[in-house]
Amino acid sequence: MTRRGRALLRVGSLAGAALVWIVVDSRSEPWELGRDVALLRGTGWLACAALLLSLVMSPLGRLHGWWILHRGQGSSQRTVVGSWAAYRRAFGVVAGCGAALHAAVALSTYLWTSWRALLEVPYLRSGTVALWLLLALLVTSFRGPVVAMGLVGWKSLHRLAYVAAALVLHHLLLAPFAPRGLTLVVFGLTAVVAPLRWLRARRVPPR
Amino acid sequence: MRRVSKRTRVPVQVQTLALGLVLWSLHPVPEWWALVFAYGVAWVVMQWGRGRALRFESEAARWAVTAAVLLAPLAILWRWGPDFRKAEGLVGLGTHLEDRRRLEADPAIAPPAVWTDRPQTFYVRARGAASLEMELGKEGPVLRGTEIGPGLFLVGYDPAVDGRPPGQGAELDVAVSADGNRSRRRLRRFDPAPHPRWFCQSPELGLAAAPSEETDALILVHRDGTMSHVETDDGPVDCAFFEVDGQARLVVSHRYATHLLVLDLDLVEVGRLELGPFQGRLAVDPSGQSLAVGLGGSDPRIALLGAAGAGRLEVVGRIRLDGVPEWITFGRDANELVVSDRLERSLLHFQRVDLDWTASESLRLGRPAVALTRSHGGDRIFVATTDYRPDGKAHRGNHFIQDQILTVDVEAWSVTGQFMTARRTERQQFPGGLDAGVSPMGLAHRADGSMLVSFAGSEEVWQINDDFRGPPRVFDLETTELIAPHGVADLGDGVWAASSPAGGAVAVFRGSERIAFHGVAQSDKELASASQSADDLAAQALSLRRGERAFYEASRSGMSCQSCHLHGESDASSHDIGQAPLLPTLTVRGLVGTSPYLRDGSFPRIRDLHHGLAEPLMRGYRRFAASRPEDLERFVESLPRRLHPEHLRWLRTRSASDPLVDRWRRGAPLFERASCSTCHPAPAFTHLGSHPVRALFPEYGEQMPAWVQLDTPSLLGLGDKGHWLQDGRAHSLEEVLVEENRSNRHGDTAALEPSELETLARFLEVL
Repeated sequence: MTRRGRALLRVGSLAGAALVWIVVDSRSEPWELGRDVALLRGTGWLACAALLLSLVMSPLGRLHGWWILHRGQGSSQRTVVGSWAAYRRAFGVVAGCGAALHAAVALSTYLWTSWRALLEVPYLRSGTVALWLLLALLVTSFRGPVVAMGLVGWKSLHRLAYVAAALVLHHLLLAPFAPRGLTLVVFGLTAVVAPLRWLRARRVPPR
Repeated sequence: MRRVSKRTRVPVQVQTLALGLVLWSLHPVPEWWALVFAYGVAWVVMQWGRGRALRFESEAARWAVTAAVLLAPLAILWRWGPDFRKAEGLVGLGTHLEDRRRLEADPAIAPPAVWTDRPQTFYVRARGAASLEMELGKEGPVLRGTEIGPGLFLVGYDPAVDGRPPGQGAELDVAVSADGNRSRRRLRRFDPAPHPRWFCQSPELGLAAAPSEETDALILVHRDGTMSHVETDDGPVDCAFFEVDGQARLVVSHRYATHLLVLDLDLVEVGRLELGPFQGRLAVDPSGQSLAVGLGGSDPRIALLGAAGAGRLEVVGRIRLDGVPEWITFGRDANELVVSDRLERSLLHFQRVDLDWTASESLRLGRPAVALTRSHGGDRIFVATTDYRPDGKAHRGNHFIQDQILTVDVEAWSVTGQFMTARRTERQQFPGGLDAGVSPMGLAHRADGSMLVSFAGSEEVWQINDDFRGPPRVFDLETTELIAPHGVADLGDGVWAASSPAGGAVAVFRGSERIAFHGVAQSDKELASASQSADDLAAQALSLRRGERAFYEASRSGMSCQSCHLHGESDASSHDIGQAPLLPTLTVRGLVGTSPYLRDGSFPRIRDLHHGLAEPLMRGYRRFAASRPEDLERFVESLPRRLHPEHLRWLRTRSASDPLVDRWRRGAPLFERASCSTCHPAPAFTHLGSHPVRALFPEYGEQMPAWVQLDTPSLLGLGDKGHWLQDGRAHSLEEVLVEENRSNRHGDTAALEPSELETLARFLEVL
C-alpha cells in the first residue's frame, strides 16, 4: 500500500470510530430533536476538525522538516514532509465526506421541511457553499479524476480549502448550537499554525 | 531562449483571483457564494487557457497592469462591503460573540448588569459548585448565592440593604467565588439619575409633587416656583394630597418598600401604613374621605383607605382584580372607581353598593391607557391612548399609531369624545411628517374646563378645552431642558408645572412664562465636565439621558419607541410589523446581553434598529442627534426586567427554605428532563441562537416561508407576559407545553406527566 493509502486508511479508521461514537452517543438522547442535534453537532465537528487538520498538516510538515534540517538530518526531510502531505490529503478526504454526512443529517432531520433556508439563512448558505467546495476538492483529490479532467490548475483550485475554512468559521459563528469559545480557539490555533507553511528551509539535497 | 525573470511574471493564482474579481464586479451580488462562483468561473477560464502565467517586459509593467485590472473590482468590493456584512449576518457579530462567550464561560451571570437603585436577582451558573459568593467591586457588597439546581445559584442584591458597589466606572469588576475558586467577571453598572415622573397635584393648596422612583425621592413644587424635596423609602411610585383628620397630608406609595409613607406638607414623616410591596397609583375621592391604592404583585387589588383617627390611616375596603391595576381614579363620587388594565387594554368601572364593590362591563379601548385623569366634577374621564378599537380587533395598518385623547362619560360608560392629537406643523420638511401632538403622556384637568396635556414625543405642553373645541395653546419645550416631558400639574391661578424624567428636571410656568426651573439631576454640562473617560458613570448618565429622550422622541411618522413599548413594557397589543400574522409587542426590558434581537434574531445590536427601522420605515427624526443609535441602545440596555413578586419575597430573607427555592428545586429537574435547556440553558435561559420555525413548530411553520427564523428568547421574566410564543398564540404556559407542542419538537414535554407539566409551568412562571 502506498504512503497515501496508509494515511487514508488510518485517518478514515479514526474518523469511522469517531462516527460510531457520535451515533452511539446521540442514540442515548431520549428526545428525538436532541438526538438530531447531537448527531448534527458530532458530524459537523468531525468535518470541521478534519478540515482544520488538513490545513495544518503542510505547515506542521514544514516545521518538522525544518527541525530535522536544523538537527542535521537533511536526508530524511523529504520523507517527513511527504508523510505530512499524505495526511493532509487524508484529512481533506474525511472533511469532504464528513461535510456531506453533516449536510445529509441536517437535511433529513433538523431542516427536513426547511430546505429553502439553505439559500436564505446566512450561516446555512455559508455551510452549503463550503460543502460544495469541499466536494469539489474531494473529487479532485484522487489522481484518476484529475488525469481524466486534464486539470492543470490543481493548486489554485485546492487553495479554496482556505475559503472553505473561512466559510465554516462563518457557519459556526452564527449557527445556533456551536460553542463560540471553542470555535474561536480552534480557528485561532489554525490561524497561528497556518503561516508556518511559508517557513523556508534550505533546499533538500537530492538523494 | 530568453529567460524571463520571475519578477516580470503574474502567477496563475493572481490571474485567477483578478479574473474572478472582475467577473464578480460585472454583476456584484454581496454574498459569499457569488464571490466563490466568480472564482470558480475564473478558474475554469484559466483551465481553458492552460493556466499560463502572463509575462511582462519589466516589473513596473507587471505591477501597473495588475493594479489597473484589480483597482476597479476592489473598489466595487469595498463599496459593497456594508451590503456584504448585512447579507451575511456580520453586522454586530462582535456584540453577539461577546454575549455568547460570556454565557458559555463558567461561572456565567445573567443578567450581565447591576442596577444600583432597586432590588434584583441574578442567576449564576457554576458547574459542579456547591457554594457561591459574588463580590460587587473591590471591597464591595458580598452576596451569597442560594443553590437552586445542580451548579445553579440564585443571588439577590438589594442596594438599600447590601450597599452600593464602589467606584465610578460604568463597568463593575465582580469576583465570583465558586467553592472558593475565584473568577473575575465584568458587569455593566447602571446608576440611574433622578427621574421626577408623574405629578400628584392640589391646585387649591398650590402644590404638586413628583416621586423619583430611581433615586427614592419626592420633589414638591409650590405655586411660587419654589421647590423642596425629601427622601422616601424604596421605589416611590405615586403620591396624593389627602386630608387626614383635618390635616393636609402627602401620601407616597412604593414599589419595593412595604408601606405607604405619610408626610406633612413640610415633608416630615408623620405616619406609615403597611400594605405590602408593589403599590401603584393613588387616587383621592372627590369628598376627600377615602384614598384608593392600586396594588400589584401576585395578588392584584385595590385597597381603600380612610382616616382611623389620631392622624392614622386604615384599610376600609378591598377590590380584588384579575390583572394589575395601572391608572386609577374615582368617578363622580367615592362610590365609583375607574381602573385601567394594560394587559386587557380596557377600563374597568367599579361601583359600591352598600359595602360591596361590583364591576360593570369593562370598556374596551383596544390599546392601553397611556395616561388618565378625571374631570373636576368626575363625570368624565380623559384617556390618552395610541388608538381606539372598541371592537377589540387589532388595526391592520402597518405600525399603526394614532395618538389621541378619549373622553369617557362615566354615567353612560361609553366613549363620547375623541381628539386626535398628532399633526404636522411648518417645521416639517418632508411630506407626511408629523411633529406635534405626539405621545400624549400627562393629563391634568383644570377647574376652568381646560386641560393640560404633555407630549413626550414632540416635547410640548398643550392647553386645550375639555370639549376639544378650538385650537390648542402650545407651549413648546423642545428648546428647554425639559426633554421628553411626562408629568403635568395644575398649581392653580394659571400656574402649572411639567416634569422631565429624562432630563431630571421640573419647571413651573405661569401661562407661557417659565418662572422656575429645578434640575434635580446633574445638567448635561455638569455631566460632561464630571466625565473623566467614556466609560465612567457620568459619561454613561449623559448617554442614557440622550437615549431616553430618543426612546420617547417622535419620528417623522408620528411614532416613537414608546408608542408601542410603553415605558419599555409591551402595549399588550398586536401589530402588523410587516409580517403575515399580527404580532404582539414584546417588552424591551431585560434585553441587556441577549444579542441578537427581534423575533427572527435579525438584529445583532439594538442600535441597528435605528438604521434598519427608524430611518427607512419611520422616516427618521427631525432633530439631528449624531449618537442617537448608540444612546438608544444604551438606554434600552439600562431597562431592567421587572422583579417578580416571588423574587422580592425571597430577597427579603434569602432563605433556602423559601417557597420560591422549593418551586425551583422541583421544577429545575423537569426543565432538564424535557430538554428545555438544549436551547434555553441557564443562566440566561437562552443560547442566543436562531432556528427555522419549521424545525421547532412544524404545523405552525407551514403557514410561513421555510426560511423564517425564530430567535430563542430568554425565559427570564416569562411570567410577566399575557401571551406566549412568537405570535402570542399561547395564552398560558400549559398551552405552550402541550397544545402548541404536539410534534414534541419544542422540548420533550411528551416525556412529562400532566402533574409534572403543571410543576414545570409554575417553575417557568417565576424565572
